Amino acid sequence: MPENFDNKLTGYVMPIGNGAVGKTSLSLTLEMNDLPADWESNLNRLHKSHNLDFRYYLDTITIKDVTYQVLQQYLVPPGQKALDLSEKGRSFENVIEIYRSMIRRVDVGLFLYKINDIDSYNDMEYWVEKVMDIINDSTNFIMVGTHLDKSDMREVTPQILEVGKKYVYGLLKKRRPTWHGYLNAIEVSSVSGENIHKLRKLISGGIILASGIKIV
Amino acid sequence: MGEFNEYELLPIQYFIKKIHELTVDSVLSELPFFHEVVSPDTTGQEVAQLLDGDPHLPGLLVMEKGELKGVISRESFFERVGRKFGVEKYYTRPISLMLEVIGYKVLILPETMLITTATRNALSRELEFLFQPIVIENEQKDHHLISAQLLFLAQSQQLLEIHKQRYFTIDSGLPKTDQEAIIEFVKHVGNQSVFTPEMFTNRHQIRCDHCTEMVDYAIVDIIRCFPQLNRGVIVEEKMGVRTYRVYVRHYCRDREIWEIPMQLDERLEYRSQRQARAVESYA
Repeated sequence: MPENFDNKLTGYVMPIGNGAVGKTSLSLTLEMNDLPADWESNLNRLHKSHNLDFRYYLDTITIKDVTYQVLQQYLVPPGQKALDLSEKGRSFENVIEIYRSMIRRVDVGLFLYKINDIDSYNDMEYWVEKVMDIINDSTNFIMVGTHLDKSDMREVTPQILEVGKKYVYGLLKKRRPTWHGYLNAIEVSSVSGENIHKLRKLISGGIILASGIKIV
Repeated sequence: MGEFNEYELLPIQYFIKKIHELTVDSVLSELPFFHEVVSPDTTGQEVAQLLDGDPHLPGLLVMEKGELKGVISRESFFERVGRKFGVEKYYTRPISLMLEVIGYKVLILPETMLITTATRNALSRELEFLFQPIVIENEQKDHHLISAQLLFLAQSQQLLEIHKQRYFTIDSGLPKTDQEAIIEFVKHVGNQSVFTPEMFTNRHQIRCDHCTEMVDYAIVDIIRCFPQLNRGVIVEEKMGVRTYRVYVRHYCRDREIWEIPMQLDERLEYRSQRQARAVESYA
């Protein structure tokens, strides 16, 4: 593997979305080098996040014959909304308030939703609003549909997603007119591992772009 | 021990559990009744033993040679006995004496009488006798006792049933034509040029996860279920897409009304559904 210190990057990735959409399990899956063949044994590692969880993954990606080593630092906040009084523990808003000084920047924001739960998808609007004050102009976003293994119960269709992607892009631009990042979309499964590799590469690509490196 | 129907030795809670089986057309014979008979010569002490022996017994029929002489209710008996020198006065004497003192004119109603009518009759009694048991009479002129408490309970259940009928279902909606329903919908959600009449009248099926039956509906049926349409058709605009949250109300298990929350897209086509839930009642 070609080693080049100039191409070593560290990027901060924040998965955001409703509770139980798969923020923790996706970050666990992304953290592992192999596909989660023994997914069942990983289940007991899952928990409800009440705080900011940290994970990382060291990825290498080659773009235009240049190899980059990208350290993906995951910051996993809770999916509980401040308004949701029925839940106990810290909300997303609480945690962001507490750790604001520690969050240096967010290079890639992952908007998570379950493809078999339209409500979690619709709530993306809420999460877009909530991340506006922790992102920067070059933060890239990926809309990540989880539970791809349950596509037979799909509620978020490709047509809906197409409209939603344009909508989120417009919303980001409206809320932060100087924002010039990218918005991608992908569907993955932490259980089957489908598209996990692609997502890793998208994240690494997002970190490289956010760093300001010009890919010619 | 007298005759009892199926509710005989069961506590009142059992009847309350089964009370939903009553309909607005239920009659007195559908209520649990009692048939504990004593003669006018029975002493107060014997009456006390009988009442103590069965806490569900609302009272005793006092009969002589097949003729009803009166009713001694639990409340009246213990109220009299509980007074100063009550035990001395009534325990050793015939119960006919207490009957005379109380002076209650027994309310006798045919067993085929509607519960609604019987309740009205029972409530028309003098205030001090309002909670006295009611005597029902069958074709053979047999007499039985019904507790006033159970009669009123049954009546309240019927009122609830009547109230529930205000919750229309897709089978029994408001008397509106399809056209009227469509106009109301469009007025509620705003004039949407994407609509065609067929979108409202085409029939669809959805499975209720509670009764597991397929429920057949058209959008116009849903509109007819809700006198206040904003309770049944909720417009949501999220992620750049307009959707409609609607509730398909149907008679589920035990004739209870349940509704299936459903999301429709802009063209009123099915997008998703959520767990069915019981329609709120005031029980």
